[in-house]
Amino acid sequence: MLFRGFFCGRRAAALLLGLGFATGALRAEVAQAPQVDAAALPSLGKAWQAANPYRGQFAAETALPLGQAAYNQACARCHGADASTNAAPAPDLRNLNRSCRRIEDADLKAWCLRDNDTYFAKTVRQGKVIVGVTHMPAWEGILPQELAWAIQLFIENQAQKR
Amino acid sequence: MRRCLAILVLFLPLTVVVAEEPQVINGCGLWPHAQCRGADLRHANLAGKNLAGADFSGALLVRANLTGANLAGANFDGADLTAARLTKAAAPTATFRGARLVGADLEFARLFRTDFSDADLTGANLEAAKANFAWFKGARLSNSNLQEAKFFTVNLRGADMSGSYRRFTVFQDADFEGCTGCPDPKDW
Repeated sequence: MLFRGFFCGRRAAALLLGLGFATGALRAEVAQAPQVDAAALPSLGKAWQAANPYRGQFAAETALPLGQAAYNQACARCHGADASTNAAPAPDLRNLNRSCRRIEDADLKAWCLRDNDTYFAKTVRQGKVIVGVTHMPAWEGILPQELAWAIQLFIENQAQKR
Repeated sequence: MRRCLAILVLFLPLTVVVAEEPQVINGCGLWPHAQCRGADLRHANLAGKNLAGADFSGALLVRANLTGANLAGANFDGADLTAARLTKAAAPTATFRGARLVGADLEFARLFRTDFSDADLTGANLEAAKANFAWFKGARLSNSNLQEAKFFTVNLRGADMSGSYRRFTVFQDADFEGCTGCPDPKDW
């Protein structure tokens, strides 16, 4: 009797586990604010900037560790830990500015990076919805822009180390 | 010695690595993620360019040549691509919502999961285009050439396909709800 009960319990547990997996596969990724204090970074207000305001600035040094912490809490689940893998389910973000990096002319390169910043910010804010399927949630209102720009600097730093 | 020099001179053009810098047309830098909203690129030659993720919403691309260009994830919402050439272009997950593609040539284009909702593709050529999982919700495809086009699991709700040429077009698992001039789902 005890034996049978054990078996039933196991089967029920396996069924529940299976159901859990099934619903987990259907559930979209939920954006959750990372527990990182952005107070050390210059405040940027509510309106999003068009380009990364910390690039090449004094604040970039402060941004890197904060960006790393925020990245690993908010992005690493899909894009891979420390932005240093190409085996994650979501794209390797180190490739985002690859074309800009190859440009030799300084002005053109800066312009290309500005365009890339706009693309980055738009993707972070709106997420990725492709023909009705949410591949990435929208981070607007959840991730402060100070942390978003810090995350971008961290990713670009990782790309340079490659 | 002289022969050696001659050989060197002969191969000199090959040894010099030419780093080609990206082009700029009418305030639009031609690189991936380019921000070219509303840009005037009429008749521009953009063949083979890597413009992945670029923003061309509301841009004027009348008769532009985008042959073989990488347009993955690019945004052409509300753009004017009348008679533009997109032959063999790769535009998966790109959006052409409400865009004008009258008489555009999309032959052999890769259009997986591309969004053509409310776009005007009147008389466009989509011969052998691969549009698996694409959306043509409310799009006009009247008198278009769809010969050998792959429309697997395509959303054609409310689309207008009257007069389109559909020789060997595949519509497997397509959604024809409210579509005008579409094939009968039972015997397409």
